[in-house]
Amino acid sequence: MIDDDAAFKALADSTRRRILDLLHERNGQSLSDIEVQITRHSQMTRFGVMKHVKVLAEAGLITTERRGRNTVHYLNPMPIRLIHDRWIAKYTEAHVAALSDLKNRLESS
Amino acid sequence: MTEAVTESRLVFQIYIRATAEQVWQAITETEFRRQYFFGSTIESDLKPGSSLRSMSPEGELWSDDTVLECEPPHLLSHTWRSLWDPQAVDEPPSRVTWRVEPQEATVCKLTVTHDQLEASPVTARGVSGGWAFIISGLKSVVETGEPLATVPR
Repeated sequence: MIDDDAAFKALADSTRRRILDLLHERNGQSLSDIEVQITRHSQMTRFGVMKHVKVLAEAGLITTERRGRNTVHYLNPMPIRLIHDRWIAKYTEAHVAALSDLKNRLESS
Repeated sequence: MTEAVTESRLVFQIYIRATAEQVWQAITETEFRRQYFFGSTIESDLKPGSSLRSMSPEGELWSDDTVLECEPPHLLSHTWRSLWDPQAVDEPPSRVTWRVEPQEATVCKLTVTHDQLEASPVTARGVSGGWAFIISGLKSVVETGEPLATVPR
């Protein structure tokens, strides 16, 4: 089972978030595709990009598929969705409720 | 770039604490489907070539698709057209594949792939956020018996 910790740790890195954005823009990219776009703006090596892709795959944030000699990578938004449902929705709801309480109090005073 | 990848495919993968049969029921039976799929039904005998229809809670026809492959409780593949979206309704049908793979004793991996979307960009944009919400809801219904509390519509 993939847990929240792995997803949070994988997301706590700007290069890895950039890789997710690249796949969100265009799903199903090979490692070389990803590498070209990442190394264009950084000193990172191919090995460095590979390590980041591996962390994302282990956290379930990307899935891979063989295509002939290539492996293509797809964004899997489910771990982020689960974090949203478990962690974010809860706190933003409370926030919205507090604001609407405040609105009601102000309007009735 | 080594190759121009022009295919359009969405992939959603999740682990669910349940047996393959329980996940299969949640995918194929209205009683469960209603709780996570925007309240819609599923009506099909699940035979390849048969129709697979879905009605909204108000009884509108939301989908009228065709079963492509069915191997209970592991594989269901069917065509997809977003009939509720007037912008998407004239696009060619795409394909949705549900794959249930048992892992350890009571854990399954569910992979939903929505592909053949190359000629259906409006459909692709329309469904991408919806699938994540639906599949998260399916997990919640199967694991806890309860739908998700928040329903973005």
